Amino acid sequence: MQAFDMPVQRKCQCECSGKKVAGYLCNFPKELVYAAGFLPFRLWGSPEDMREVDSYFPAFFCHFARSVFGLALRGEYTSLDALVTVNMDDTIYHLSNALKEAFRWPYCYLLNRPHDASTYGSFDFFLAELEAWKTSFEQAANKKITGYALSEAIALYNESRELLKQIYDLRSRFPAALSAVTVAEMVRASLTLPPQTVNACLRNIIGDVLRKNNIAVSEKKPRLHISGSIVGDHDLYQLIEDCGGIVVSDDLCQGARSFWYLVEETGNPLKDLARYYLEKMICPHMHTLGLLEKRLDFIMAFVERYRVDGVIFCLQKYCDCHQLDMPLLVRKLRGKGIPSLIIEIEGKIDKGQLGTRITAFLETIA
Amino acid sequence: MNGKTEKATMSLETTKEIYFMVKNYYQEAWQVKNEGKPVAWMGVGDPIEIFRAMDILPVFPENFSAACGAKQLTARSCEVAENEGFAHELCSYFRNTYGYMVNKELPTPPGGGMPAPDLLTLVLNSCKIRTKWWRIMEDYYRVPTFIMEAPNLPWTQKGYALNDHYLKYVVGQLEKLIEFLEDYTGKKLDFDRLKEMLTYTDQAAVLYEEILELRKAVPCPMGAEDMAGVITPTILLRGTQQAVTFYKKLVTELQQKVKKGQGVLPEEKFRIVVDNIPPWYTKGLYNYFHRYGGLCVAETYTSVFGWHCRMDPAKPLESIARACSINWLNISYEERRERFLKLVGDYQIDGAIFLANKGCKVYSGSNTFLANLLKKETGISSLVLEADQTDPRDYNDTQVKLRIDAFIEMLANQ
Repeated sequence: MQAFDMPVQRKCQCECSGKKVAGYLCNFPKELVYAAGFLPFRLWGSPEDMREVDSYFPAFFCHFARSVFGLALRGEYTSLDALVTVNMDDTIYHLSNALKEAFRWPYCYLLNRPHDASTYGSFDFFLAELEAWKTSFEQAANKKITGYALSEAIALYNESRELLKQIYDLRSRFPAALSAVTVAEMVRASLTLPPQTVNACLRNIIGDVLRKNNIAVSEKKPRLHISGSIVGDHDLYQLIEDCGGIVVSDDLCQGARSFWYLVEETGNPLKDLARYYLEKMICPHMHTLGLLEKRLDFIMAFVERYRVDGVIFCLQKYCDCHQLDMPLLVRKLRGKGIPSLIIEIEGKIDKGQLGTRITAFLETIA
Repeated sequence: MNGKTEKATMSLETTKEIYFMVKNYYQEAWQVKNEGKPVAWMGVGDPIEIFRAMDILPVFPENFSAACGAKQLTARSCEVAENEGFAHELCSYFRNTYGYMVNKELPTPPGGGMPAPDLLTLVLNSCKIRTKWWRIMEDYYRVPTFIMEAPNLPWTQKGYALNDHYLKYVVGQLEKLIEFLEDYTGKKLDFDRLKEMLTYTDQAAVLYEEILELRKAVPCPMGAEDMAGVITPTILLRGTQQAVTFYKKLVTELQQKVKKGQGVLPEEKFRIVVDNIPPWYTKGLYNYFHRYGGLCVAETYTSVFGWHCRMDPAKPLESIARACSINWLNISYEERRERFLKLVGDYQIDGAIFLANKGCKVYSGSNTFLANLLKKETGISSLVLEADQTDPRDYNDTQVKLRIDAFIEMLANQ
């Protein structure tokens, strides 16, 4: 699988044989979009510097959000058939509104997901939101989203999740066969390409790696976990590996957090999705009581499962929710004897400066 | 910080009471605490009438930080938070409160600051930082905490026409909040008392509307330097006779000025609208426009924010739920467009100032949208100035004033 070049839509439309494409932000319940006959395509932004965005969106918002707006400004999203977003944080709320106001979309919708799964009525509210969106999208798409189609979509995406989990396990055993960049591209594909295509491809890759299981495990190198939201510039992974480390896991929102848990299938697919997207996402933009401890447990589970030596917090500058969690997570990890490095990224990484810091960090944990 | 910051020079008599109102409020809070009565820390704009009706004193970390800012105390407290690993770009209200929370050596804040909380409560109705901030305080103080949510409104609905499931969700959580407070205090909420307080709130809202109407006069009888603090009684004393009395007095003073055709300036040349939270450490910035015949006659923060929502005491929880949901930061750009263009027309605006407040993304995110909208729909020009709400360290007074000079010159040549 290769990295996506722009324009993204043409590529993904090509991949799914003319299916309509709905761009989405954050953890929008993509199964619903797919069940409506659309390809859900997660918008990734670009690591490129886009100064032209300053006239439309403030410079002190995270690079990811600004670059999504920038790509829209450059006409990269003109072929999207819909834009659907979910209200995760203040940046996404602003970005959704700004995109809606600045460009013409055939269909544009903002879904509200409560920020505390334990608040009274939060599940019912979210379910009502999903039902309202479903009705709205059915009208726009002129197609009913049937329970059968929804169950099928959940099963397909669940399979992607399981396969990606296998990939992460395999990477830990055979890091030379599955580089961090390659694995990151697989996760990206799972959020942008048709699930059947992705699943077939992942099964092939797993088969290949297992067949060649005589690949020697790399010499002892520091094993790293990446924590944060989005790593837009995959050169970072390459840099870490060039500096002598191995990335073995992450809890990125465009990484393991997007697939680690499965949607439970109980026979009521809409409720299953509501429960999954409200309760299963260990998203720093939530404030459910005990979330920070859950985040810590999630990271520690990776530390143990993949024998992690150190954690690199890779934070988008101006991403407030992550910035607020970070000092407490670092302190708690330190208490457990896990060293960490904090790096702040804005678009393309500065290999020189960052390389020096990563090398120094690796030396301390080697 | 480059150049000196300045306190505001007020032109009205009534608004001079606000400083003492804030100081007294915190002093009284300490007294209440010492008497063993419960103190709850909560968000500004939260339904304080419920707390007052249950004899719980509301205290507001955001208002506390604004007061610290006005007293120029925030640079050190913000540094304390940064030294603990919190980013410089985070909300300065949070950084200031955090600094005062963990470091007891900082200079004494106005009124002695906030007495420690017995409860923490919050309505999430825009800013997602506050919820994390409240969880951090919960972890520190280990007191009962209740956080509820009045969701951001998408563009498919307006604040004046909330969807049923939105209203039901917020009302349901308010009922749970009441249960939480009843459990804590061991006594039932007296709904008659709540209704009485909502009557005061509604009276204050009507008077606040009158103030806004009176400011539309040309020349304008009150600039932003006075108006910035006028929300204080709405925040601290909503639901009380004291707030109603203050607003009545202010209305009377303004009516007299308008009747006499007496504006703040002898010759009013430029009527300006300001967007964003005031830079509390240099509120005198508003006075700077006076030298050019410029007056800040309207602000999104005070004029269209939604502090003064009307209440129907017969439907207490529904009224409160609406008030929690419709603030400026919780509404879509589509609704902001309506409110903002109406504001600009009603107040006969000549120019707009947008404060780029990087710690407050929830407020500043619509800067560019509104500035572009204004230019496109009305031809009115805007100026964006860098000014945090409470942290003065990045503020460059000299540069800001040079930019204002150039902006006014441009307005004069239009």
